[in-house]
Amino acid sequence: MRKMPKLQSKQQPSDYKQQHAGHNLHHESAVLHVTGKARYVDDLLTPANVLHAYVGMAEQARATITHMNLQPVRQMVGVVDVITIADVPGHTDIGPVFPGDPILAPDQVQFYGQPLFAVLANSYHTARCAAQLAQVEYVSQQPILDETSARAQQATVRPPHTMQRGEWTSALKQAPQRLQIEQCIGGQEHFYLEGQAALAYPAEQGGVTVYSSTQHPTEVQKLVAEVLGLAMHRVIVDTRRMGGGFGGKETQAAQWACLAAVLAVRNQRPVKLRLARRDDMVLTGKRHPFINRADIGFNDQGELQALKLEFNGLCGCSPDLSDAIVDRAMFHADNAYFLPAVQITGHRWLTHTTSNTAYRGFGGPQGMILIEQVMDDIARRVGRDPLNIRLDNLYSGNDRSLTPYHQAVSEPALERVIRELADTSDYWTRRDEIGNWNRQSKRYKRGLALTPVKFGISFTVQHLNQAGALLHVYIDGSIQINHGGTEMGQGLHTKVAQIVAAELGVEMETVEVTSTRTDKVPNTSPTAASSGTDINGQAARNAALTIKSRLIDFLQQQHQAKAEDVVFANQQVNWNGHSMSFAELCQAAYMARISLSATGYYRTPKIHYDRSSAAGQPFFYYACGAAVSEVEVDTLTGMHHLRRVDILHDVGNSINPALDQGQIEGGFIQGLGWLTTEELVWGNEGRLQTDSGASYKIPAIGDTPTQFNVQLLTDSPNQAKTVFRSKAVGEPPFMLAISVWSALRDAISSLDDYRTNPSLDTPATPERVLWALQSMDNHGNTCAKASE
Amino acid sequence: MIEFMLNQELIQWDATVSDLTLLQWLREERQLTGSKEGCAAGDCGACTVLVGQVEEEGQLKYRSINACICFMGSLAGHHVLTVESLQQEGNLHPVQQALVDHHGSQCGFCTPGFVMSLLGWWWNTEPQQLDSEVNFANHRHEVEQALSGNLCRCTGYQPILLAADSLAPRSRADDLLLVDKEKLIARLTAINNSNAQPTTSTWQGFYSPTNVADLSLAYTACPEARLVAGATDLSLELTQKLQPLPSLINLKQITELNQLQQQERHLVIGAAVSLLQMESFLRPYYPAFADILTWLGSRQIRHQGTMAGNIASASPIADTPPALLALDSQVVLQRGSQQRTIALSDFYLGYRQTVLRPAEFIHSILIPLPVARQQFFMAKVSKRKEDDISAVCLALSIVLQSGVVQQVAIGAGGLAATPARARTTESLLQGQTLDHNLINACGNTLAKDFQPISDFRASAAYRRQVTQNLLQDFLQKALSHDALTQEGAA
Repeated sequence: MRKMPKLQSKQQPSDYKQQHAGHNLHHESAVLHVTGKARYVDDLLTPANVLHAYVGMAEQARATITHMNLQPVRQMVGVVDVITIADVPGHTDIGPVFPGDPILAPDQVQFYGQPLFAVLANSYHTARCAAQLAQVEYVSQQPILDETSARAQQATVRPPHTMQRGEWTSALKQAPQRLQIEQCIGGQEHFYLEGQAALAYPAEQGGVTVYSSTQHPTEVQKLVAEVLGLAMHRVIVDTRRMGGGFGGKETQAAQWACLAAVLAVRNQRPVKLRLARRDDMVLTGKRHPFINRADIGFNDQGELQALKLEFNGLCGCSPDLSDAIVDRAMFHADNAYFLPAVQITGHRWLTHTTSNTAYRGFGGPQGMILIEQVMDDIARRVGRDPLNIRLDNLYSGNDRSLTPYHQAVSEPALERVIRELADTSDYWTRRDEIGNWNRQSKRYKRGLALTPVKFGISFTVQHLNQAGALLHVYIDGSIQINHGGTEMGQGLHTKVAQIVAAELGVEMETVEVTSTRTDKVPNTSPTAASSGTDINGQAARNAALTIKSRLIDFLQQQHQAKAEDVVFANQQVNWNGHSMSFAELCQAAYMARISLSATGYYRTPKIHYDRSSAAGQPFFYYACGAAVSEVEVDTLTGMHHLRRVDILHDVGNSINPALDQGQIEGGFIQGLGWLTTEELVWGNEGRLQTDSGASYKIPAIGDTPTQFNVQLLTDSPNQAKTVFRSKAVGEPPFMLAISVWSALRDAISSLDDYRTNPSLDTPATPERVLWALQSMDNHGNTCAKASE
Repeated sequence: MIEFMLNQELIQWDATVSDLTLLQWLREERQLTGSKEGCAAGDCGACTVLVGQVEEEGQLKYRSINACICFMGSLAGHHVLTVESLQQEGNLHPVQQALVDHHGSQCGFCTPGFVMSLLGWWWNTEPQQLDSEVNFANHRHEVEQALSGNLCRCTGYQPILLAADSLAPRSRADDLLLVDKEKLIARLTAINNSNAQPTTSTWQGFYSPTNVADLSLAYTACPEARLVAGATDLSLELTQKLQPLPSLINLKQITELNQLQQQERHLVIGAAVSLLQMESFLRPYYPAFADILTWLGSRQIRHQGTMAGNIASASPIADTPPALLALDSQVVLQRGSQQRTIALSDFYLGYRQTVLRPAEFIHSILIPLPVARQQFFMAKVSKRKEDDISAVCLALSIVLQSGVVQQVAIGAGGLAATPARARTTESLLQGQTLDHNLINACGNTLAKDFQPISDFRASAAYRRQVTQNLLQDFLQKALSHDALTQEGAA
């Protein structure tokens, strides 16, 4: 740099205090969002010679391909290239952890819709039309679609895992009361509004740059390199933002990026691959359906004594992340409750459906919902209010603090959120009011439930708990921060910018968070497990602290400032009555040849888990919350609606309360969809029948309750040393929606004065609710058959 | 060649390609990527734009529509407003600012659609103070209706609702976008579209006749052409099944088919009348029908879709035919210059089959006016309230005199291959004294009337059960109401 940029003497921002961490800044892209200027992969400007790729899909769920004629595809006007697995130069398996996910099907088809070949054409429409022209002959086999057939054939994607603590066998036998429960928990389509998309540009030396809508740029980079037979340094992956992820772009984005990359390099043309909604729904993995079973022993007051719990995850056709997902279901089998003696087993069954994958909560919701049914069912059995049963069984320190995986729970917020919420939501008054209503109203019945959430924070795979950041300060004082996390709407980039701005005492406008790029920060972890801010925020903070300490050293040498006197605030640096602007200091430091670029790194301390003994400390800390939901059920149709929701959630010291509240509200409503309206139905032949927005119903605006009171727990800094003592918030609130399902069962059981435990599989559609209402005479607890 | 306005620009578009959607054109040819494709089927609203049209009274009225299922040819003479045009003098529009202020976007992909739907709502309502529970509830209902076709997967909608609350009392008068409205009206009115009329069966294009005679001529010349009004169903053949639609004839510009009037014995509804117009028109006559219309599709769909389309698509799960059947409605069909009027119950031949002959079209729908003592009930059962397709839709029209059934008609959707009447049950009830035994007996006859199927929306057993529950509830209510009016009379 020969000539320094001229610095403008800026006025102090009048609302400076609001620039700090801890305040309700709007999302860094909010203005771009509302003006339509925020670009997603399909919005990026492309050169005129861009080509469009699409995949041809199998029309069998389990079959051997005997013949595939691709001539008609090739012959369509506008088609440029057609590839099968044989044309992939490098690895052909893109399984993220274990093998099992071929980039294109070899001769065996594992699920209906599985991509068989990819076609490249001069328009999106042509590529899609051409993809339908293949003539494929199959020898089909009976697909495995449920737990019963998978168990009969011992078809698994991974071996089972068991955790236990205490003498559960004898305790179960000796318990004064026993209950057996079976529940079928439905899966869930992510329905991110932006479908899967990738845009690949060929680079020199056979390399490629890929713009991918992914939560895991590094894994996309690695897999693209592998399928091309390249070293990773030849591949760059860039992710500015996603139009929603929710776990659906943690592993599932890779296939489209890999195919686009292979075709781009092979044809030396830019290639875009974007899935149409219906195909996205058919092709990509979903939340795992679970079949859960419990055998529990308890005393006459409803205190748990022993439990035998079994989780059966339907994993689809390959392992993907199912091992960790079923593990996380098992880790959350206790939710908030101390289980004195317990055995937990988790099975990973294979089904001939698309490979199920990460989804907000990552198995946690499916694990937690079983123990919440246990609480409600015990309450009705012993004739006490479910809230009291929950409080009595809560983790409460001392000899009641050890989880089934031998990590001690010491989380004062857990009991606080429940007790404070019971007060602020008028739980007990409303319990009486609802009792009165139900005695008077014949057709419409109301239900109420309070359920807590205790969610373990950290990746249960230890090595993923690390993050990096790269911070540049330019000589005009402006700052670029790049980190390994991706922005999918959760506001991660906003929080990271707030953290950097707070450490360096500058305005938010000074800090630019750039797109996530594998050539800026390498070897990153997926943005998942709610860990985005915890790990990337801390890494970015460490980078800022490095720069800060260099600048302080410089001030010490040049101006004899004492380190402890230097204050970075208000876009200024002050020491001992001296002051200069941050930008002036940066210029001076540059002139003195001080590096203004730094990396930051963070690894989560303390965590470990030994799978062979099923013991350890897999979680750095727990995030807690509780919700009270009130529902009304129409006994003629089973239709129901949510009258009121109250939530109290613990986010530690919030870095941005508005964004945290957004995560809580959004997570809750997404959980509401999972448990009520969102139903995945497969036909007997293994074809997904609910494959569009017309047939698969995520919550619409009228599903948001009129009374929706969401509060953050006050004065509750994280006990663990996280960035600014905040807590993760992405996933935990999702499970607060279990209160809705619990309230529905409460309303249903009002029909026989809360004596019987209704069986209510999820999603609790009007049909399931109506059958549960009707079964109140027949004493429930049988697992209804999956839909026809 | 057609002309329309896109934001501030006059567009001349060569209408030879009939089946290009507005969204494809905006994104691919104009690089206006603010409008997003979330589903290409009118289910998510991420592509919502406003379309302005100069109405008969000279007013410029804007409606929200899904650009993904709107054919270019239908825009002739309209003003298309996209999210890119809202910022004025570098400032966010009040609607945009409200969403920013209330943290109404997370991933942002659905946001442009919400901006446009909110703008459509804001422009079409008067400023209102939300100072009482009643007007707050009415406001919320109106906002939910306006945004019923916009899905958001991130926010849970709460901040968007709060943004709407903050906008409600604000004056619309200072909206810079509306300053030059008169000029815009003049420009739109000056547009004079003419397009080539089909003369042979091999004709391809998008033709918008302005009178029924031209429509008849064109359709007779090219019976292979498809008729299009709202395109909310037809367009899915293109966007979901990738089937070309090379020859389209548009009904929307035909004045006669836009008629909506009360005649001596009937309500007359032209084939091009939108479902949204129906909502307010029907309310004085059949409020229960109007209520159900608010749950048919989304606001965007109701802006575009028509009742005639709902009938002609012959879907067994269409929501208006059950009501129309129960009300003994008729359809006026026309071919060439010949018209015939038939009962709607005779219109359906089988699954997706109707009596329509080649080159014959629905001209209008005749709904009888309510008669004395007539009671009308309707209910729709679906997994989600907004924008969902019925598992069962049921309508009952009944006339009771001192507890005796004088007239009864039951229309149902989702229970058979076509929307259908419950004839056996009607016979059971007709002329009988309605009492609990008779109401209970309906369960058996309904089982004879309908043998529904199981599909992903509901099982056959559920459909049967819920139909029985609803019908018995309707009858019970009718009986109670009749008893009350008798008391009143006594």
